[in-house]
Amino acid sequence: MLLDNFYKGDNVMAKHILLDKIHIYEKNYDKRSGTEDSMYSTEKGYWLDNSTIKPLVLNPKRPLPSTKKHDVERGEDQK
Amino acid sequence: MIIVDVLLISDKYDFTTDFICIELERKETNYLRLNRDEFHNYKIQINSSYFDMLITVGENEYLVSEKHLKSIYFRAPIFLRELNQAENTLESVLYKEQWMSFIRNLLIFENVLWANNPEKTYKAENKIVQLKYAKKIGFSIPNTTVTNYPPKLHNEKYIIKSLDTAFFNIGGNEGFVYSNIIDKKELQEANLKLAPVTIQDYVFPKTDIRVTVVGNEVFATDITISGKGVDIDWRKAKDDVQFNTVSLPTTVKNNCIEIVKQLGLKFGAIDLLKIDKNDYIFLEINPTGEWAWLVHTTGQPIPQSFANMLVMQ
Repeated sequence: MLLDNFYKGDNVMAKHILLDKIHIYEKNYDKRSGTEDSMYSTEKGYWLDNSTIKPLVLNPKRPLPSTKKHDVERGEDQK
Repeated sequence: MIIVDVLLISDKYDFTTDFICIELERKETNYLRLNRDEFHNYKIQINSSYFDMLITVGENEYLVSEKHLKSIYFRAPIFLRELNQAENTLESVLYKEQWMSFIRNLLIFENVLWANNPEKTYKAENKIVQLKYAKKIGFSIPNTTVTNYPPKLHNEKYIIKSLDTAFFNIGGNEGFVYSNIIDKKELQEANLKLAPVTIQDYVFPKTDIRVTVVGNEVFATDITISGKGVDIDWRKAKDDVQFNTVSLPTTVKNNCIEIVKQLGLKFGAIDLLKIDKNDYIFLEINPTGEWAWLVHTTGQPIPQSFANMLVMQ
């Protein structure tokens, strides 16, 4: 109970510095992004472009599926 | 019945794993990718008679046996940070907890190469442990204090960051804590009581270097804007940065290989700061780090390196 009050700020002058530094962004993460017009091959274990039947990730004309650079930050072990 | 040589534990939408499957196919390897979000579509069992795993995926039957299996590529979280959030249904919690336990039990395959073994990753994910190992190996490390009260401060600026990934759901939005530059006065007056923070010496000028280690192979990339190092956490400026392959001094390269080995890993994504020609500082190692973005941006043959390692034995 004491800790609950502490969380709520009863015993705290200011917000914890990490909470103060949170970078907030719109929740628009969709792990399926980039897979339009493609299909996943269970046998091959990778996505194929529907029109070329070649690996999606090797097609330079398509938007890149989510990567560190193009994805929002979620921590590196949230695969 | 297909006898599996390489087992990949991943997620259907983890495109990083696609790169490795493409290379394994080129090598005509018998591999099987199991996706954590598709377990309900598989028929799967492990029996105590032989501790083999039988899996039916579509029309195909697979046998994963320690006798034949060479390696396991493991792309799954070690710490389930999002599990207890209110939006999870009972079914979702049951699915995640039980299947995560199931894949952790793949540790029955003890005599195969793991990239990485979750048991080793569990230890290696911890930042203070990493710094201890890095220092022991001979890396320069930043002066670092992990604390819940402001320590004695001598510099004008510091870096402050979370000890572990700090990721939040906030009223329908998401929040993340990057590394922040903070001045002495703000840090002295800051409230730290509720949770420990990591305080490191602020270093600038510097250039961020991402080093991807796969076994004994090392791929180094510098991260710059207009050829210069980035002062802030570069992830905040990720639409403006450039990535270029660079070479490392032999000592630094060997230290990168060594820390991966000493932590019991086969792969690690290491963050360094380059201060001068031969002066590098170790920041951290990510045992589950991302690397597909480097394939796209630099052309580094990381998938080939992984595939070679996974089939070797």
